[in-house]
Amino acid sequence: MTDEKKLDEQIARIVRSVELEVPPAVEARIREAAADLQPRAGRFWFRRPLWLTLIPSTAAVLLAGIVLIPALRRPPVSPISEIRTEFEIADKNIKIVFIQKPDFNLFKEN
Amino acid sequence: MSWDFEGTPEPIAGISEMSRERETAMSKTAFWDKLAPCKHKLYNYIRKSLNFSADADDVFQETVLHAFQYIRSYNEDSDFGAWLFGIAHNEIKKHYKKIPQTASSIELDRLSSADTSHTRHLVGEVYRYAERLNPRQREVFFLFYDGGFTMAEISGITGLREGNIKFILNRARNALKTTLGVSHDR
Repeated sequence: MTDEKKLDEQIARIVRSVELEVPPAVEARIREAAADLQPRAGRFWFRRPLWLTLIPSTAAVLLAGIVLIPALRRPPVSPISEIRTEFEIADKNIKIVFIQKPDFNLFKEN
Repeated sequence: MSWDFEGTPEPIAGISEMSRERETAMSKTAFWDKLAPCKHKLYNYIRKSLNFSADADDVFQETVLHAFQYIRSYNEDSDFGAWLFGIAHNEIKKHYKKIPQTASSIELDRLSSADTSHTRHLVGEVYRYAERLNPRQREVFFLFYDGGFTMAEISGITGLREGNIKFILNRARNALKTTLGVSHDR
């Protein structure tokens, strides 16, 4: 047996030499208090029937769907309202910019 | 063709109520049966962890009542003692949060059953050492030396890592080695 184990045993013996009994008054008080209490169903969700757990989770999924689907949907493509054409003559340091007016209808044949 | 539903739900509801009552009564009895072998150890753990403070009785009561109320959340496959001590640990923590300076009232002469004055002196030294520890370290100390729990079990009860528990216990060993060394050589 190692020294550590011997020391542990000795400390445990000393610690356990002080022993206290549960006072009968305390025990009676507990029994009295417990008589009015009912054991609760427990805090764990898995103790509930499965169908009861499914209701809130289905509601949560539906709610998330309602809130998130419009937010995730792509914004509609805006119609072409302007056409911009740029020409750049590098060595002359000239830049020509054509801007099509907003009233120009791209898909209309003249 | 007609369907008569009248009268059917009542007997079923009655039966389920009766079985629920029976189940509650059974779980109550089962609880006291399960508690009986551990209550002495539990009481000592709480008293010692709270430095024999007078509040320990209240903490013990809270622990037992809490365990009683949540007996259905106890998993039958696990150790009942460890589950109960886990609740006690939470109650002790709650108590220290409420009253950080819990008064200690160690009266070892009255408490110790040791017959020789030398042994009484050693008991005094060990308990005075435990008194100086912080609440969490004191709990580990008593769970190991008084409760006889393993480091893994203490880790489960207190939520501390095994490395920390080992450190606390090693420090206790080193601190008490010289005090107890004298009696060890005898």
